[in-house]
Amino acid sequence: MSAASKSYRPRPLPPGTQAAAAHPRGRRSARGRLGTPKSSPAPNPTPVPLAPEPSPALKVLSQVQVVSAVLAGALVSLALVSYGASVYVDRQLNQANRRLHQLQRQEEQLTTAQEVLKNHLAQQAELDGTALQRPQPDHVIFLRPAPSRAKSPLPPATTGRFVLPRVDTPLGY
Amino acid sequence: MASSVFSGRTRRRRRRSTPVVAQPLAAPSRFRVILVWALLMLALGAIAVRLVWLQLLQGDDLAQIAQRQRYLPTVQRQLRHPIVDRQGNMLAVDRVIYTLYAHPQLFKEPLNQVAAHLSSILETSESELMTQLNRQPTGIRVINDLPEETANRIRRLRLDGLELIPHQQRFYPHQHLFAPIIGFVNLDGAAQAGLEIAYEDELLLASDSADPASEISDDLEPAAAVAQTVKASLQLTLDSRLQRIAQQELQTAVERHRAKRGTVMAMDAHTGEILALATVPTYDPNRYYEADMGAFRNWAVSDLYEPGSTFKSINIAIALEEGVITPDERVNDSGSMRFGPWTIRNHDSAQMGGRGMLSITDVLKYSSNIGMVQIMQKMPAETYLDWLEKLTLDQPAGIDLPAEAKGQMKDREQFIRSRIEPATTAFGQGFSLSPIKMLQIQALLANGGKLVTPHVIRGLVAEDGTTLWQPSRPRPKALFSPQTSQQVLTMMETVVQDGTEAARIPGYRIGGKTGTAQKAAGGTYGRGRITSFVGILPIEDPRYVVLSIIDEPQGDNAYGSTVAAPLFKEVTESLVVLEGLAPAAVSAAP
Repeated sequence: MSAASKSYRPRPLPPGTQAAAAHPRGRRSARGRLGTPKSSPAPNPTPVPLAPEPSPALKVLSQVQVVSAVLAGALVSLALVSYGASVYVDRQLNQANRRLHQLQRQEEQLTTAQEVLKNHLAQQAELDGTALQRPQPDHVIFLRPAPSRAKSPLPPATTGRFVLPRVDTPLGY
Repeated sequence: MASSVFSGRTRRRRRRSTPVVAQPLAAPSRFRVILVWALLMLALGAIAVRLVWLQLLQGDDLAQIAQRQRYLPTVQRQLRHPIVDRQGNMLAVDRVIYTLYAHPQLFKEPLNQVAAHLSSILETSESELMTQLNRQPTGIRVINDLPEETANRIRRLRLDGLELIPHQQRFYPHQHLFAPIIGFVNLDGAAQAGLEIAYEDELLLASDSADPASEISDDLEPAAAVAQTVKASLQLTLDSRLQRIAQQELQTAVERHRAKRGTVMAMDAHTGEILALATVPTYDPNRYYEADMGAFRNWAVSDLYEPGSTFKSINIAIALEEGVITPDERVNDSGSMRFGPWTIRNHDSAQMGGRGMLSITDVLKYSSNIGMVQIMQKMPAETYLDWLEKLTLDQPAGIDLPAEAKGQMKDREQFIRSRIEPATTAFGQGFSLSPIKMLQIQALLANGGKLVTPHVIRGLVAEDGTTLWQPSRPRPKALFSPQTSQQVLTMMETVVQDGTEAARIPGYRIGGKTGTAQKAAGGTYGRGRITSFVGILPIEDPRYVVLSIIDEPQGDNAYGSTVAAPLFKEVTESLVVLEGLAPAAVSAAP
């Protein structure tokens, strides 16, 4: 696209080359393109016709193209990043769910095993062979809880209570 | 963007070497530019249309396909809330158990090696497994009801051809102990008896996951199943320690006296919370299919019995409340009375004859039928019947267990017209009620005359202790005055102190009454008896009611005082220790 807006700028040839012979023909056709020919003797460099200013619409379009190119690049990279993130989040969720599932299973197993053990122990206690008895009031001491006293303040901390005396030679036992 | 295909250097080189004949560039015609633009716009439009197509029209289908790829349905682990007792011990939990299927045609190892691996885990002999595995090439059900740990060990063997299908099962760790109360859930997951069926709506967890019985998987679970409802359990008022003691002592008593059945129940008279409700027969709800169908009903709730002498204390309370007698009055016990073709006697009329003038307390102490008839005849039969109806004798007690039986009385005209009916009702025969109703009515005396509702459910309690739901119960209704109930309690204390020595517990003031009722058989009263004892303690501040009933004890010396009272004493001794009820001497100390 840009190549169309930029026109070919012929470079001035160094003087005295063989190609100068080919020039008149080229220049002539260039002249035919650009309209008003400029008379240019071989030794003097011919002022090259400048390309006309591109129309404002074209300028806007080129700006839009640059912006949209940047935007497209950003969106593509964003799409790639979010796809990666979704896969990552999925996998983390997967792992967390697996862990939760495992913990739930373990909790269930523990609760059930605990209750089964309680029942088993109680049934063992019920058997005749043991000397265990059911609770009876004459085998038990009933205590009345003492009335709660006001909290006495703690004695101030004695610093250096456990500091041993310094000796030069250790005591051996 | 180079303005030429060739770089500057190439151009310069070219220029120096060979004269390049510059080809005239083709003039870009406007048409071509527009054509290219149009084509590009078309492509853009096509992409947009495709995007719209995919997102709006096929979006849901595609999302579903993606979801189905991720979502692997699991067995729902928890269908119901667990049931716990007063202390928080689990009485009923959901768990997942596995059925092991073997497909020998998929085995990579030889049959006997697989059998060897399995026999150590399943604890069955290798030869048994070999016969099982040799039966058919695929689809052999090796064993049911494998717990999770065993299933994990089998999975860790990593043998081909073994398949573990998960099922969800309701598990009762305490087996026989609470079966008539909690009931059971059958293998299809339907609740069949007890609290499981009566409170199924509250017990069921609100869930929206799919097919409940599918392959279990370690992979992703849907978020819906992960975000569970609040973990709560249905807490009962029963104390499993007391229940276990009660059940064991009851079983011993029933076996010792070769009785048909029995029950013992302990209730807090102020709140109506039942601390223990033991019945024989009972069954193992984990293996309900092995049980007798008759064991599924809780006979303490669903069956009626004629109470006999334990009802006498209630009748005295009625008479006192009505004002027809005073506590220090005396009535004449003549030994027998005639009502038309029927004669009523005391239980010991043959030995003792009539005892003459008795105080009301003595009427209770000697359990004199004639004395009771004399007392209740002081009020008109209609008033007596109104009182019985006020006691809601023919209505259910309102306990949360299902299938509660309503008591039966004679209808109004028969009761009022015939004189024998109020007479037999005076000593507790001629009408029937359920054991739990009897407990409720006896609690009237213990809590100052209020009719409380006996219940076993405390409520649905969350993990942190907050109550999420409680069943609604009617408010306690005052029927007797506190003075009347205290007067009757004093009489009942005398009965135990001077009479029923089998029920005495040293250090505790206990009031009670024995009951030995003849059972009706074929229109008349037969030889079978139903013995009972009701006790209320402590008298200085009544708190607990304990009722023990043994149905049809065999043997000569089978009375309430010899059969039911020792059972009451054993259960009550443990009750006072477990509830921390100090003996009277200690509690009187400052």
